[in-house]
Amino acid sequence: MESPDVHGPEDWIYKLDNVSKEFWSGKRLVAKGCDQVCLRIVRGEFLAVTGESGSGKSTLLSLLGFLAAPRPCPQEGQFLFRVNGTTHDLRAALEEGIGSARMSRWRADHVGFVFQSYHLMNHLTAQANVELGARFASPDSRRGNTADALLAMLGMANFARKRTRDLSGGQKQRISVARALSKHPAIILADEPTGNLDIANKCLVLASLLIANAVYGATVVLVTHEIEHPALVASRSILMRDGRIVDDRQITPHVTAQESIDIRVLADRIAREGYPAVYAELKFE
Amino acid sequence: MRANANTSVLLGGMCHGYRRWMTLFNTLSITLSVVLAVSVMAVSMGIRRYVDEIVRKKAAAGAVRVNRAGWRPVGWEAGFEENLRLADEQLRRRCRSDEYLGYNLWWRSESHYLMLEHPRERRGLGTFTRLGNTFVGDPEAKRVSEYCLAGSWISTDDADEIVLSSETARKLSRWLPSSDAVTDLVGRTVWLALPEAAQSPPAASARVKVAGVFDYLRDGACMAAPGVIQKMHARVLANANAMWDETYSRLGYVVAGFSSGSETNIFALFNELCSRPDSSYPLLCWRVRDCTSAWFAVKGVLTGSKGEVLSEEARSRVRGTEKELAGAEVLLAEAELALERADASQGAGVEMEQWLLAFEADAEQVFPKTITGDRNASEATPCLDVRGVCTPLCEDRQAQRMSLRRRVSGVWEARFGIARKGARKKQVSGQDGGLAPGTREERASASDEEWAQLLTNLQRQASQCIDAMQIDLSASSLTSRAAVDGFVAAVKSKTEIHKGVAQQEHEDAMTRRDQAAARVRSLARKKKEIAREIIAGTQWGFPTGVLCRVDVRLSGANTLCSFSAEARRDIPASDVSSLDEFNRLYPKGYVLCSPRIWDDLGFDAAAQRPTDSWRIDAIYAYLYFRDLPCAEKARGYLDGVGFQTHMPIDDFKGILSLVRVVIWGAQALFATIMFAGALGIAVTLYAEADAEAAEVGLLKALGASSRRVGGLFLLKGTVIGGIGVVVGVPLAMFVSKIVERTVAGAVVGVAGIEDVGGMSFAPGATAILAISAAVVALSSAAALFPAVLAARRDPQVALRDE
Repeated sequence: MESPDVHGPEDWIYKLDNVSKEFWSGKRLVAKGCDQVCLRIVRGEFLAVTGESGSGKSTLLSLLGFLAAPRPCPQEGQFLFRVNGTTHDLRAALEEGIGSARMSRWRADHVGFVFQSYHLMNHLTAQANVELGARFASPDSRRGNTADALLAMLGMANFARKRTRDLSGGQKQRISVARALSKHPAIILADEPTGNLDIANKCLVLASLLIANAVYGATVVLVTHEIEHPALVASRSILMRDGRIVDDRQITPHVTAQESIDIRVLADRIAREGYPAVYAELKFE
Repeated sequence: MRANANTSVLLGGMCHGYRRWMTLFNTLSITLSVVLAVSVMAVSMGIRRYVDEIVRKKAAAGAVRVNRAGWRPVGWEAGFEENLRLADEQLRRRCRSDEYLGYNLWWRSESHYLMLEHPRERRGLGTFTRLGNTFVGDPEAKRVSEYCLAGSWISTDDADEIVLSSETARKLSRWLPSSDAVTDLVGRTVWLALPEAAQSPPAASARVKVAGVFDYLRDGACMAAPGVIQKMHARVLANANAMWDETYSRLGYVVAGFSSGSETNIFALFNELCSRPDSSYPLLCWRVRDCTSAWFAVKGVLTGSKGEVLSEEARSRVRGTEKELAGAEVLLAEAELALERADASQGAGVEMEQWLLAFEADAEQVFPKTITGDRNASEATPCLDVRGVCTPLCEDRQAQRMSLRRRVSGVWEARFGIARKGARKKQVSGQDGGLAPGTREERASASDEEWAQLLTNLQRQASQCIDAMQIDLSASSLTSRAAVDGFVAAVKSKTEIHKGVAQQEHEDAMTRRDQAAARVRSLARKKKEIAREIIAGTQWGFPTGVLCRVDVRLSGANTLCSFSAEARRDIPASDVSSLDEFNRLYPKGYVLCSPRIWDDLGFDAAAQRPTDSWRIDAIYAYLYFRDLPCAEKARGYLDGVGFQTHMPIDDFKGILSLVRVVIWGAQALFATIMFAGALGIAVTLYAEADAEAAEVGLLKALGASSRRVGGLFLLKGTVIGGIGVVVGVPLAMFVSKIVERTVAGAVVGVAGIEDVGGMSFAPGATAILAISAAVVALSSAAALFPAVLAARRDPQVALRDE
């Protein structure tokens, strides 16, 4: 199930071949979330997943985040996950009957989630929420960043002791990003993180993800239905339709209109000068 | 440590937002449950404890009374022993004799007992209840009982059969393995009465022979069964004198065995006997519990140990003694016979002397001594027929006749007087009264024909005497004076010799008889000693009262004075090795075992107190003792612990009833409250698990396992229960304290209670711990279902629901 990397020089983190996810109600097939998806995600990649509603984006994200197991189990294909030089075979784990436990463990150690609805513990402070992200991780995976550092980097240092119920949506989402980064995950899965935010906070959240990708080296999978986002932040974009990947292309990052915020510049400046300085210069329409 | 931190962080959600109210309500619910439950329990237990204390204090103060209900114990007030003696004296007075010559009804029970009785419930048995004991030291009772135990059982010889009831027969049949010998041994038929035997006489089909018991009962036996008693009673009514007098003449006592169920019959029998003015024999009533016991009483003579047949060696001893005794009795009889023969021979000598006087008188008339031989020559030769004394030889027959009549009458008178002095001589003198032919009046008024007949008889008797003396009668006709004198001399000589021999024979026979009688007496004494020896070594298989027992039982008032009020299990003390064994046998009541156990354990440890499982219709005190010292000791113990003779039965009953109701209610309320509290926890946690699906999903997304998520919910329930206990128990203690003060204030002064002392309603530490553990366990169990629900929740769906 776990083996040294023998899959070639390419540094992938996910390798999916013919992976499907079907939803059944008893003996009746309700829907196909993913249909024989073949996907390889390279380490450090910023992958944007786009598509219409119901095209299977979130399902794919659940599969990548080990929130759901493929169904049927990919007999002809494979679901490989490689981290820290070790390849994990989900199919083999499922066949051994320990898939659930392994998925929980991988999820706790290597995967960070950013949800559209934040999913913060409102009774906790921002700092506690950030710390919560690493609470279930194994000690080996809990390394690097403290909650305070993450919050400071994302411009939330002043809100560390505040309960998240008192924060705005953008702030919550940035805390959510910080929570995802708290255990230094190999991959961050963001499911429409900007869906509930205004343009400024969208930029900040996207910048946060860029920081996570660029500064912390996390592979980011961004599920979005906003068509411009891939162009703004992603290095690769796939388009899904009816559970299948119908388009997969590399994107050359570009800074276009002056009225637009150059996210990459912004991210560079945030990384270089700090969030508050950059945030103060932002002009919001 | 880290896990604890995680848990505390996660549990923090219970105190925020709307969930804080849910948690608060849950905690309040369980706290109230604890308060109510503990309070109710404390109050009920406190009341119970309080009542116990009331009873204890009242008993210790001797203040308990039964006056309201009218119950009073028999034999307690004046002292146990004194009561027995008074009863005995009363009985003797009733028997109209101070020397046991009148009616002596001995009620020998194996036990001494006292009962609480109610005047309205005595039903005529009060006398027996009062007279229900003979004290052990009574010498007469001891003698009689030894007599009975020695095997001298009375037989109702005129009974041709004994019919036992079916129940008795059933019991008896267990001990009567064979069926052939009993009739021969007992001398009559013993029938087991099956239901068909209820008819009289019993149907032949219902008769089943039983046998094998009475081997060594030489005098027979009277089985003690209700049916037998009924029959005996009937016989007494019909023909009492014959049966009882005959029995008394043989043995000096009338012994009747009866079972414990026959008191009524015995009482009627007693009354019947008391109403007979001419009876003068003691009556011993041997009380046995049932027919099995009766059989054991019989068998006790036969067996050397419990349940085992008498050893062959013991049998041979008894048999040997019996054979010796029989041989001695034969010798005695022979000696008696020889004595009778010697007496008869002696009597014959006396008869001969008398006859000779008469003969000489007759000869004097025929051959007067004054007349010489010349006279004889001038007259016709007279002839005296020895066998025909007083033959008509004289001419003046009338004068001769009258003269002879006077002389013979004088002789007869003397002889008659001699004969009347002793029955033996009278018997010896002949079938017709010897030489005295009839009474004086008969002789005086006899006619010539009768007189002639008398003379003929006289001659015949004379011939018999002569034959008896072996006198030579070759010269039966004497024709001279010399011949007469010679004949008289010869007869006198013969008679003297015969008298001497007879005297010697008589003395020898007397000696032999005395020796044989002494031998018989010696052997009878030896047999009795052997029997006593065997009995002394016999371990009786039926309850002989080794057991000492005091039961204070709560039972139906209607059965208070009944001998069969409740099943009384009596067991020999030797069968009870420990107090536990006694407690097992006697799960209720004050149970006292032997004094040895009292001494070892003390009364409090050996006495089992009443429990709430008792029936409380009435209080029934039954004391059961082996003997007087044992009873006295028991009474001392009872007095020492305050069980006095005045028990406030009515008050006590009321309080006990109330306590029982309160405790039942409290237990029901406790269960209801706890169930309601647990239900509240379950519902609230279920709602929380459903409402916080997203949180559950998040935890799982962050890597929490299903077990951990479920455990978190279980922990929530436990925490709520724990908070309820922590808050509720002190509150409950406070509440119980208030109730305690209220109740104590209300009760002091009531029913003679002036001081409640250190009474406390507060439940003990054990009860508190038990209740706390129950509450926590219940609340944890209530959280089980929500925990399972949360653990199984799909995180993908949970996150999407948000």
